[in-house]
Amino acid sequence: METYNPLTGYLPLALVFLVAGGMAFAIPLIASMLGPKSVNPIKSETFECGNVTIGSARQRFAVKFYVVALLFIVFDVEAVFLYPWAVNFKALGWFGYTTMSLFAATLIVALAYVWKKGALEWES
Amino acid sequence: MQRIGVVGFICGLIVSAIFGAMAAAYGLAGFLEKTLVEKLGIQGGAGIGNMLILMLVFVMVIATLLTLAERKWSALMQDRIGPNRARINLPGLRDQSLAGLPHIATDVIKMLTKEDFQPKAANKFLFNLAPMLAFAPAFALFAIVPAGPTLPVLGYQVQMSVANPDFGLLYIFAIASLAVYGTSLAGWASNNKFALLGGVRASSQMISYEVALGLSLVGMMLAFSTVQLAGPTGMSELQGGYLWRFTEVGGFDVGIPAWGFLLQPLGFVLFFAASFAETKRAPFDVPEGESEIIGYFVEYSGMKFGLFMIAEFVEVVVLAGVIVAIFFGGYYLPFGNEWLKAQTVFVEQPWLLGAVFGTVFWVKVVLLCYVQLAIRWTFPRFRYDQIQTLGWKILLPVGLLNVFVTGAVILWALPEGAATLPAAALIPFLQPLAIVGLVEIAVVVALTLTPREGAESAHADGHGHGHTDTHAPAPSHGATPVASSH
Amino acid sequence: MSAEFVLFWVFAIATAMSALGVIVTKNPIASAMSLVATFFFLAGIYVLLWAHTVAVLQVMVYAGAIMVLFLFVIMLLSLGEDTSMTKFSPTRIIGGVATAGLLAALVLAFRKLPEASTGWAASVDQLKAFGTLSQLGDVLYKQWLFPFEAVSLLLLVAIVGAVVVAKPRI
Repeated sequence: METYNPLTGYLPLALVFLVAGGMAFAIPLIASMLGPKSVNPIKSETFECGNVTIGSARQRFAVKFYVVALLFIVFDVEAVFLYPWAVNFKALGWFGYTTMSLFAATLIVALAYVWKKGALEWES
Repeated sequence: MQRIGVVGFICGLIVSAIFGAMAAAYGLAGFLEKTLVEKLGIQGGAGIGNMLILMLVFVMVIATLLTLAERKWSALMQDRIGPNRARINLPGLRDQSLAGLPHIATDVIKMLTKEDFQPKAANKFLFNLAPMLAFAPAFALFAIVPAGPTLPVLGYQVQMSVANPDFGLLYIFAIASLAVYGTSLAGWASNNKFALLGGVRASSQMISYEVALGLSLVGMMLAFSTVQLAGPTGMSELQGGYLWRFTEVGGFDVGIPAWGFLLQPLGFVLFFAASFAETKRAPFDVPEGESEIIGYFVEYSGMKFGLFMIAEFVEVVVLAGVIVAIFFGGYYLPFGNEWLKAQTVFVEQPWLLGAVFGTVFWVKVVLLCYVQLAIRWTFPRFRYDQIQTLGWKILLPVGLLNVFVTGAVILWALPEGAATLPAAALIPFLQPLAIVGLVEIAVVVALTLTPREGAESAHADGHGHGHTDTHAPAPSHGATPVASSH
Repeated sequence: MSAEFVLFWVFAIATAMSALGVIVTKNPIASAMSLVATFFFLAGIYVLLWAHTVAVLQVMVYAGAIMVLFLFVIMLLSLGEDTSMTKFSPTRIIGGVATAGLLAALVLAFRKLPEASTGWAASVDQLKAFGTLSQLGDVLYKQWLFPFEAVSLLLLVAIVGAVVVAKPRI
């Protein structure tokens, strides 16, 4: 009887992750062992073009970035729904096309709303 | 004349080196597959061999050479000589600059022996973690890209990609989305206002373009009904088929191949623009902006900075590989593939055929790397608002439009009951899609050749046919010059 | 002991450890990164369950998209290096009680589960299709069409909500 185990296909992939992580970890480690060490209070200051640092860098930043991140999640999820549809596209035919159009239309409404409200304007 | 001869000789040397390495790749993959199946009873040895040769040799060597190539090409474009000072102190080589090649070695030695410096205000753990998180995903990306066809070697079917999971391209989207953390953590952990600004700009830019990145490839997924790149029904293999088959002269087949950029020119432009923004290279280099904020790695030095830099070049190579596999026929030539496959020498020694196709793949990759370098040194930097406008107001709507127009054309051309046919048999039904694609290309060419009257009228079309990545999007209030160059 | 069993324990311990890291690290950004690691190892467990598509979507949507939003929110609120919360407050007590209740419910539920259904017989073709993108699409766009369409409304509401909340500052 033919046996099938899909996990063997993931063996090289797991090795890729191990090698990628190992290289990313080992390269700076080797460099830190080879390099000299000289700690100096002036050198370890935060570098701000040679000026004396004013205040902390832990600043709040504009809420626009948050809106962009949320918009990204929503459209990322939409794209995720497009992939299983794309794989079965020819089998689902016009029926699948219509349902996906409805789904996308709702999100185009969302994009138009965000656009109209000016959340995509970065010039002000 | 002598110079042309030297260049020709070096090109021949590079191509034969690629050929030899690909032949070795097939040999090693076959050997490992055979050994693992016979000794341990597990499959997947070929993938391990491919990881060693494709990822650790090909991708890393091309990325390393690109660090020099970038400096040499930019020097050529700016009428300079470029790096030529590092010399090898051996008799006969002392007066030779060797095209700057020794600079690669000196750069590596210099970065490795620099002090491992951490600023006082930084968060130590996250500061050290950030360059790793930037490098590891970039390196792992290449795992699903096939560099050659699946062929029998030593009695086993050997695939020329590290892995071929069912979810294919989704792997690339998933791993690429992890690269955001490297930049945003580098910016935050440095505890430096400029680094934070760069990190926030970088992560916001990357997530904005990830959406367009995902949408731009849906058209190709619809056309071939798969998300896999490798394997017998993967995109690379299907692009070996012909849309129109003209003639056969002595078994030599000629036709218009089903290459992705003919089926989906708009998808190609969208993907290229979006992935270029993901690599954060000029014209999308506001996160670095070395003339204004230096960037998220302002506090990094030595090999930690080196990891950010090499990650960028690895991304360039991977991006070229992915574009070749999806849009430029993968490892296939535009004609004569079936003739090549039928030759007796290749029938008897399949690994030679694999080495030939592998060479085709890597030559295409190197050419696309060059295109990316040329773009990086030609275009001035976008302003940040222009980047966000391009991502959300142009690429995203055009990408959605492209998906549904492509879907409608494919369904319209598909005859009744054809959906159950094998994928390769469906390629001729994509002819109308290719005609739509040719019309799109013609419109872009016509718009490019038409002399511009002003920035206003050139950007008047909202449908994006004229918007290649080379066009700076006009801000909504009118025409403003693009931000300063280097 | 099969390789899958060993791998399960590797991933399970890694998931639990990184999940622990989320709540014990004092730095909120380090907590968020631990959560990313948790999602990544969880994807490994999904792969062991042959749920390939769910695994990759876990990395893509949770680790790659939702955690970016978390990171942005932490940066947005500019939470300091050490936001230590050592003192007891009513919310923490309620949270503790709720967690204990959830744990008890889960333990009860697991005790009622049947023994592992090893007798699951299927042909090789069925096994090859199991958990793939194509099968997911087949189920999603035929059997679960209405919930799928409803998701778009949910996403629309999320966007409108974000814009309304952030409106005065955009």
